[in-house]
Formats: sequence, C-alpha cells, structure tokens
Amino acid sequence: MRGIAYCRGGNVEEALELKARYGRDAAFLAGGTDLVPALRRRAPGQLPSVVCDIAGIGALRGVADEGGGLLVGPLTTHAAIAADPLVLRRAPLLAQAASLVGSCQVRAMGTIGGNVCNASPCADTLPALLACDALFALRSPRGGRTLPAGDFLRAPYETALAPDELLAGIRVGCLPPGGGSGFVKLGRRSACSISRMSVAVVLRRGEGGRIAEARVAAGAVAPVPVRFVRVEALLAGSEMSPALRGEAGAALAREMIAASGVRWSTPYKEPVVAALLGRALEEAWGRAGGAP
Amino acid sequence: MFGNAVKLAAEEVRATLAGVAAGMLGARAEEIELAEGSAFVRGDRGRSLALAAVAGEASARGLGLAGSGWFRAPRTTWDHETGKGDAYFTYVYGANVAEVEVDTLTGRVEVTRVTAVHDVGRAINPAAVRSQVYGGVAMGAGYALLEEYASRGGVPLQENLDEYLLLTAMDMPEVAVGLVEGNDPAGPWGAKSIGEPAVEIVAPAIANAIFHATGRRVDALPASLERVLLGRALDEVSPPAGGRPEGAGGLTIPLGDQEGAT
Repeated sequence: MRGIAYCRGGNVEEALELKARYGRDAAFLAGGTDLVPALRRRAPGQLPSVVCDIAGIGALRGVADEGGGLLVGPLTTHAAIAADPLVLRRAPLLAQAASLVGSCQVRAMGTIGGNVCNASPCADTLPALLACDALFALRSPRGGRTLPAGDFLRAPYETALAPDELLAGIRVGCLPPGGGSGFVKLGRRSACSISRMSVAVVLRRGEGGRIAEARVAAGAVAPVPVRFVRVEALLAGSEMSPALRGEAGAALAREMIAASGVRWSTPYKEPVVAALLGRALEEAWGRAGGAP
Repeated sequence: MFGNAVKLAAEEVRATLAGVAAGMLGARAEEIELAEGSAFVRGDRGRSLALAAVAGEASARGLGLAGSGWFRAPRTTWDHETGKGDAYFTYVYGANVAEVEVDTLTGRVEVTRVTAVHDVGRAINPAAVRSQVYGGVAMGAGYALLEEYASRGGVPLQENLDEYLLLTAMDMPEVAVGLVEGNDPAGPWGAKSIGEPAVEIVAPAIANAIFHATGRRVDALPASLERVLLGRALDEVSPPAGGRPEGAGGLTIPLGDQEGAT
C-alpha cells in the first residue's frame, strides 16, 4: 500500500473538490472493508494513487423518512441499517440483506454506499435495493442526477459514476400495503461468507389471493445483480402455489443462463437458484399475509 | 513423547526448588513436597512456604530454575515385505459421532453436534484435554466441509484466509467430549497424545452422517455445496483425476523408481 496519498473531505463540497482534482486516480474511502483489501492486493498499475476519506461526513450518514420512501445516507453502516427501526418497518428487505453482509465486524465498518459502489456481482445489498426500486442520487461539481439502481450498475465492479461523482444518497421505496419481502442468501458458511447466490423478492397481495405485483432480483447469477422482469411478469396476476414457485424458479434459472451463458458452475446454480427463489417467494408471501 | 522430555526437565527444576525449600524450612530435601503453589515438609503442612518465595530465594542465590531433559522413543520395528512388526509403541483409540443437517436443495451441510470420545491415557489436565478435542473438532469439521487448496501451474490460488475458508464460530457444532482414561506405560504419568487423534476422525464421521442423511456418498473432501448436491466437484481449475492443471504446459515430472512406475 506504499505510495498512496491520503486526503480527507470534511463535507460533501470538499470531497467533491478533491475528487474533481484527482479524478480516476482517487478512490473514496468510507468503511474501507472493500477498498483496503483491494489496495493490498491489486497490482500497482491498478491502484488509486489517492485515497479520499469521506467517513467523517455526517450529512451522508443515517436514515430519514421521506414520506414515499426512505433516504439512506451512503455512509450508513450495514449494522446501522439492519437495526434501524424505520428500515425494519418500511423496507425490511434491506435490513434483512444488510444483516447478512460479511461478519459482525464487517457490518460495523462497511457502508451501504461502499457496497453499492464496489458493484460486486455478489454484493448482498444490491438485490435488495433493486427489489426496493432504489434510486441513487449522484452529485458532482457539475450538479446532480438520479439513476435507478438498474442503470447504475454497468458491469462487474463498474458503475455509472463519473470520475468526479459521489453517491450522495439512496432513495429506497417502501413496502407497499399488503406487501411482503423475502431475502435468501446462500453461502458456504454461516458468517464471513461471500454469497454463492442471493435472491430478493417483494410481493404485493391482491384480491382473491392473487399476486398483484412481484419484484425479483438476484445476486451472483449475472454479471451484475439484476431484476428479472420476465419472472416478475410470470408471477404478477397468478395465484401463489408450490407449482407457481416451481415455474418461477425454472424461469429464473433460464433467465440466468440467458444472461451469463452456460458456465462451469451452471449445473449447480441452475437447480439451486430455482430453489432459492422458491424459498424467497414463500417467505415474502407469508409476510404479505398470503396463504401458502 | 515430548511430554516425557518435559517431565525429565521439570524434575531437575523440582530438585533445585526442593533443595532451596529444605534449607529455608530446616528439613531435608527428600522431605519436601511441592503442591498447589507451595513447598512444605511432608506430613507437616504447617511448615510451608509459597512457591514464589522459594523461587525468589533460588534466584537470590543465583540458582537458575531451568532444566533440560531428553527422551528417546521406544524402539519400533516394521517389515515392509511382510507388513509385520511393532510399528508403534502405543496406540490411541477414539470414536466420533457427527450429527448433520443437509439442505437437499442447495447441498449446504450444517454440523449440529459432534460427540467425540477419546482414549487419552491419563488426562493430566482434563480441561486442557477437552480444549484439544474442541479445537480438533473445529479443525476436522473445516477439513470436512470447507478447506480446499488449489493451484494453477504450481501457483496457489488461495493466498489468505478470506479464500481458504475455515469454520467460523457461527458454524461450530455443539461438541460433547468424553475422555476414557487409562495408564499408558510409554507416556508421561500415563498420558497418551490427543492433538492429532482429535482432528483425524471428525471428517469421516461427518461424511458418514451426510451419507446417512442423503443416501449418497461424498467420496472427496471438502463436502462442498456442489459435491453434496451433485455428487461431484465443479471446479474451473482442478484437473480431472489424473490430469494436468491447465497452464502446466508439457511439463511431466518423472515418477522415479516408485513402485508401479513404468
């Protein structure tokens, strides 16, 4: 990690000024749980030469009620999100996903903004944010813009952030009335585990036990976490049943292969992603008050 | 065997301490006993000194409280031709029972409980022996379920513990330890070894428990998600059995004069 300059932005304006000055050579440091190991590991040519510490910017931390949704500061830690009463009540899916990130120590340091901007294909909070219809507010000295989560993620570890931009806020849609959510993470062990796959589901119960609306997102099944709109269309308007869960699982597996191709891991992931969706649907439907 | 050498070394220190204590208590060295942090005259607990005081006096007199001991293991014999002989001078026995829960849709195995019973000779410090067994179960269960080391072209692919996975505290099963004591003639105060035995039989017990749960054998370790669900590993880097890793070029390593090499 030698030869890396360190600077600190005391507020958003300072941070933006520093980023504008150093551009692609600079990386924002929030919780450091992704950046610091990357600095240790990456080849010198791929390293940022400047680390801009934004961890102390209080304005970027915390959860606020915005009426129609929640505004989550990017510096809010996973531990804080998992325990936040507003998030637990209005967007329980996000709290659930945050509670499953890494380990106790990683959740205490790591931030949701860091998890989002690192843009790992298996990031735990991203499928939840996608299924919550999250919007990312970006700021730069040139002004601000807002992108839906799906447009923000470009490729593995690559986002739509311009070199002078900062993720300044995350707007999270609230669970609709009659809604329920479910999140299933599969890892190789019970803590400090990178998701082998994860599935996030939001369902809204309509009249006559039918699914009025479905949102389905998954991690580690495509180059970036994505929504599966065809699976959502299959679910919407249908009656929940084990057979429907099976159909939806098979559809998700097909969509996964369409997105990623047949890979070495496909013989495992194909049946398992279907099973994980089945469980997430069951969990979400139960929480929406639906009969199994 | 190390324990025998330690015992001999400690006896030297004991003799030094007993000599100093004898002088301080007006007794003969043979009459001194050392126990529970004190030195006292046998049969007269009233004539007693704290061991720390005796050690302080030894130090003041310039007597070093160090000793050395060496021990040679009893001779063993082994005839490779006939497979006969006294290959070991003592044997350890143990039995493990593993209880697992297998997620049959994902292949995820959770070890819920391990009962580990070991023949340890004399348990000089039973708490320490049980600790060895707890550690052995953690290590053996990691070996059974997670630990995997791969290399490509001779370069290790797991360089750190973020990739070479061990059990976390959250994965540890409940462990019930049973110590079956005896008196081993070859060990210090009759003790046998427990470090290695505590590790070795955990994975076979877990593999058998997986078979009992699923009806299907896992015949290679670790019993990963893929092996348990599909019955085979899905590894983008491991060569098929007997094959060469990608990137190893045409390099062949002569087998030398091993048996069966042609």
